[in-house]
Amino acid sequence: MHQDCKKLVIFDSEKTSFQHIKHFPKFVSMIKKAAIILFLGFSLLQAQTADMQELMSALEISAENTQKVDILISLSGKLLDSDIKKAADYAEDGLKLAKKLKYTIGEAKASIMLGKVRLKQNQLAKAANNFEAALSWAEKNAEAPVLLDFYFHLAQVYQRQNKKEQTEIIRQKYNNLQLKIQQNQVNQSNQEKIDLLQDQFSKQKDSASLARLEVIKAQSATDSAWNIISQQEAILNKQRLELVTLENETYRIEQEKLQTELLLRKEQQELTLQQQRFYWVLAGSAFLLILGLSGWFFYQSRQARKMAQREHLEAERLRLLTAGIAHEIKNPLNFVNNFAEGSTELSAEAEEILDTNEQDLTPEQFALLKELVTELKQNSVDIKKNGLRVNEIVRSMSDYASGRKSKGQPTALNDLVEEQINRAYKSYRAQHSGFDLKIEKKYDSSLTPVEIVTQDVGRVLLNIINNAYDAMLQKQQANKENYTPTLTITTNSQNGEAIIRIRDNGTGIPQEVRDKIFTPFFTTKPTGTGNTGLGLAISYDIIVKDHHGKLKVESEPGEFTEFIIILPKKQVNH
Amino acid sequence: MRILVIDDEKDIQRLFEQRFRKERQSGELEFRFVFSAADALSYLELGTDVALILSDINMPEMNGLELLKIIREQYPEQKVCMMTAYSDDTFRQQATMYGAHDYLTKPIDFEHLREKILN
Repeated sequence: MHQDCKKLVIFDSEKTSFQHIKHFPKFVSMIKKAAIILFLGFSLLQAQTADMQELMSALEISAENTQKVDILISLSGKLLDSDIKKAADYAEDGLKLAKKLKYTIGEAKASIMLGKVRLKQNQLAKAANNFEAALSWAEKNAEAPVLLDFYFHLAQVYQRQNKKEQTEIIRQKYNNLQLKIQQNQVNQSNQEKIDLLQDQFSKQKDSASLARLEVIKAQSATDSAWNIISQQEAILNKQRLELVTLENETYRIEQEKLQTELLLRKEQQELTLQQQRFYWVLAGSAFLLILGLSGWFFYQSRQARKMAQREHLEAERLRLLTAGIAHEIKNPLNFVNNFAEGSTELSAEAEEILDTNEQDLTPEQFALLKELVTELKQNSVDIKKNGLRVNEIVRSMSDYASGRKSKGQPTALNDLVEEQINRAYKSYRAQHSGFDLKIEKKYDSSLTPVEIVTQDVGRVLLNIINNAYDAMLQKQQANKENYTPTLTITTNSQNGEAIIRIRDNGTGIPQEVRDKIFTPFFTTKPTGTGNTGLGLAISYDIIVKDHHGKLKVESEPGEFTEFIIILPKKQVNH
Repeated sequence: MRILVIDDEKDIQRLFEQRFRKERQSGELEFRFVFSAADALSYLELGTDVALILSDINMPEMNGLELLKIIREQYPEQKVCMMTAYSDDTFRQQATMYGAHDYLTKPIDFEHLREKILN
């Protein structure tokens, strides 16, 4: 669209320029006519303004300046033929004023005028003096017709004075000048201009112009007016030509400018096109990249979703399987454990009866029965003990498989820790009556509630505390003198995380064992203690997988073990 | 105090009788055993006064929870305690929702049960 507009402008300007050229001759002749009229008019006007009255009144209002000198000279000239006395006065006044003003041109002109006046008055010596005073100026600066007129008068003075030699010199100068003027007029300036016009006009085959040219040719030598007109015309023509040339030049420059502009525009367009192409390529690449990335993300998320689904499905299957197995085991186990316990009671009763009836039996019979009853009692105790072991294994197994689906809730960690310590302590004391320990609690009272699955984290705490008790009991049983089992619990908050440290001064964990403690079914505890090796594995899952926290262990064998539970304050997503 | 025990495993009778031998001998506790939910409802229809019902959940035909619902409708005041080998929370929640007074998991802790019954 823009380009089209530009083209239109170009054609338009071309049309205008051609129009100028086409109408040029007509225009020139018109100008020529106007110039003639103007010239004649101007001459007439000059004559009118040179009117005596006007000059007189101009003289009256004029101040003593160069203009007054000129007026005085003109007046003198006007009165030269009618009032020679006044002409002399004006010329003398003019000369005086010019001298006073140091108006060199005026002085010279006035001298010439005064010379003419003296010549008329036949005061030849004075006239000669006046003329000679202006001679060097006139020869140097005066225009040709003025100088010619000057020579004419000076020659007359010398002739009348009978100065033949000087007369001849001036006459020679006069003739030379006249010749020179004629040559100049005909050969040089006029001919040149005429040729130019002829060339122009002949080309156009303008008969009127040709006729005019013939007239000019014929008159050029003698008619100065026509010469001047020709000069004017020539000047006008030259100016016109110059104008045309200028216009052509302007047009050329404009066109060049346009060409350059067009070229520039084309380059810009190409650049823009290139840029656009670049942007398109960029946009395309970006689009492809985004497409690729989103595709990849989509694929990834789908994979992740699939994986999560599969994991969820597997977890659910495992949970159902373990729940089923647990149920099927627990039912018979109920009988095993309870009948065993019943047997223990019954054998205890039987033993009691046997003891009270010892006197009715022979010592051998009593000893045998006593031994049998004791063995039965022991058997049932052992059955019960192992039954409990099975029960514990099944419980851990179903706990592990149940997937801990509970939702998180804001929990005061200090309270939870305190609760678990007490619970563990009570149950441990019930099993190991001789065991006593020191518990140091360092709770951070500024610890704000943390969103956790209370039950699960409670189980982790209980598990770790129980392990600590086991380690300290083991160390105590190894007959360590001056040993005070000490459990140190510390809570604090740091970098948006809640930290619980459970430290015991028990047996410690050797390096090679430390790496395996979070592995399922790994245990160092003797069989028959109801330990499944799942405690820390479950704890690890609860803290790390469920709560996105950290579970660390630090230990020095024989010195201490410290479990560190780190829980982010905001989290839990099941 | 009469206690009705409902379980499809018949060994349960011998176990209870053995474990509560002293309480039975002293007449403190009296046990009745049925081995299906239907039998339990028939027994209850006789109008015999029962202080506590101990019922298993996983039984063929009608299960313990269904039985619990019916008992709750027909005998709103009847105390029922569920006992099961399921340690799953869903069963515990369901049982509580249907109006069970307690929920025991197998293997049964008889010391614990004895305390509950006598207090």
